[in-house]
Amino acid sequence: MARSIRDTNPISYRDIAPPAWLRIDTDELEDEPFRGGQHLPEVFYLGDAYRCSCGSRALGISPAISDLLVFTSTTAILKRIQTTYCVLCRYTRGRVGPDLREFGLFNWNNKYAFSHELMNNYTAQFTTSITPFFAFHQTIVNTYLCEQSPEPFPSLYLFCSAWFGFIRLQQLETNMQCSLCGPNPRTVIADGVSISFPRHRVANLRPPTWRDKIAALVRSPRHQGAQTCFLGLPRVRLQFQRVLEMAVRDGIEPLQAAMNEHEVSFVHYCSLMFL
Amino acid sequence: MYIEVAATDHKKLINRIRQLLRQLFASESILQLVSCNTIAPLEMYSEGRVDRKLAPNLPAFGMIVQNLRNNISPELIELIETQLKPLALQLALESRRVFEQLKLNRTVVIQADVNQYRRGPREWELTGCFYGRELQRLRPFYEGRDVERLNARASRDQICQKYYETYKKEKLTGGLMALWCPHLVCLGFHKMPKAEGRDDVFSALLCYFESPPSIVIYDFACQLAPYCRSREPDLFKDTLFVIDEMHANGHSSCSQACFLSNYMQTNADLLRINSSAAECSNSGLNRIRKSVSYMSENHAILYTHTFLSVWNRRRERGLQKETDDQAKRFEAIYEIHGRDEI
Repeated sequence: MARSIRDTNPISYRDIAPPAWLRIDTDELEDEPFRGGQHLPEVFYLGDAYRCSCGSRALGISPAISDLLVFTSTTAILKRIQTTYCVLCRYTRGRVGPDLREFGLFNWNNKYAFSHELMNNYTAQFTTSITPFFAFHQTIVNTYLCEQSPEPFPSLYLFCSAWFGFIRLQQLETNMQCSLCGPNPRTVIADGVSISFPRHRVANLRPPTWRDKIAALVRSPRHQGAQTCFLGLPRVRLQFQRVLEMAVRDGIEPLQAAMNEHEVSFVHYCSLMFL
Repeated sequence: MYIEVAATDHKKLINRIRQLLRQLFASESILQLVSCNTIAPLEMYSEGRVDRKLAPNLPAFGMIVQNLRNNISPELIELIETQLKPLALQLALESRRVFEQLKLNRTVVIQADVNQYRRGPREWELTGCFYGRELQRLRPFYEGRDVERLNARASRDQICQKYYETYKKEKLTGGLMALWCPHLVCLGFHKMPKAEGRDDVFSALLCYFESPPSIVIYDFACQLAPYCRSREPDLFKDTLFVIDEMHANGHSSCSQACFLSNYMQTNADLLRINSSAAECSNSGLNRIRKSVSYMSENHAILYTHTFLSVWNRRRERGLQKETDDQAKRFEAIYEIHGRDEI
């Protein structure tokens, strides 16, 4: 059975450390420098951390060694990898392979692996400037050509799928708290921004505005509290505001005149002020 | 009172009284001018005592009281105070009345256990809602205030929609609602299926904050404040909703009581707030606008989450560096002073 990239889980499954340029004090994981892949072994053995893309960690019989292409920021590196048949999904050619985190690699499907530094490069790019996947992919493709890489960079589609698989494992998440403001900030600034995706693709969104009468219902009178201004009559409010502006421009005479005119109305509301 | 003061040369005092009058005659709720935590200081003032909370919470009133200390004749002070004191009492009474009226007959009919609705730590990948904290409350349906959403298809059947379908196509979702702290750290976000404005801010604060913040800065705070207070009067009674300095220009018919700049006059802490922090952050978010517009829901959520996580980490590292640099500077100063003493 052929596998769709969209539905594929990577072989790598362990949490990945944030890059050194994003490390904060609370991080527990730390990545070793990749150093261009100079220290990678010729063969990656199954070791202690392995699994199949179906999630199974049951080792099959007769491990085999096959080719593995490692994609870095500048070139592809050909290595070998040890895998075994997955006993749970044997009909889909599923194979159990090593996680490769300790080598700074993200094992996509036991055939292709991506270096953490390549994936982090894209994260750095798109968070610093407007860099769509296509632009970054094209840059790497060109670099591979210049560096005479033994293998070309994979397709854009594969790279995108791998990056999303990688980012799901990377521990970038923060507790969304400011170290200065603490868990209950005194001041909050709210703003909406039009970072939108196609509406026809909405499937599971559940914003906090979601409401269900069966779960939570509050009843309050329909028109209660409509008049909450200090002075109730809109006409009087507006007139007084106008007169107040006139008083700024032409002195206090218009104000005096207006007060005399509306004496009856004002006495009711603000007799305290115009004694 | 204004006329008597206007006849004098005290320009500052004239301006202060005019500001107060403008706010008294504004169309906003009295609760915007006199929040619940201002009622007690106003009552104290009416009895002849000045509370230190009066000026920060009610700058228009507090500034007049402060100005009375500066080179004003005792006769004028007496004239003003005899009218300010009853006004203070009336403001306090009116504010309390409106607040009590909001609570009157408000009945919580159903409130399900929030624990049933708490999801796993990676639930945000599906819901598009991530505030880094547990769900605190469910957003109730406020009968009498919220409008029931009609079935879009049913409403479409009522009249011919040809004109609208040809010219008005909303192809994209409503965008992203994000909350920020003044240090430019993102406190959470949610993807909006469609743009709803104040309900998004209200629901986010209600659902994810154990106690609402003291100050909420929003570009439509003038609308947000009555929206929040009419639904949850007790919860938001001490929260100040204000418009940031950058957006204040557009609010020509709102009174000064809605503007952050008004409270900056009497509260030095507010001067340090970068009220346009969200705008700075939004300009950063614009970097992913194009990419997200072509993505599926799951990828858009993950991509945005990654961007904001990276943003927060950078901010956190920046704050840490500032703290370290400050500590180094203090050490250097300490060393210099030490040498001098030697």
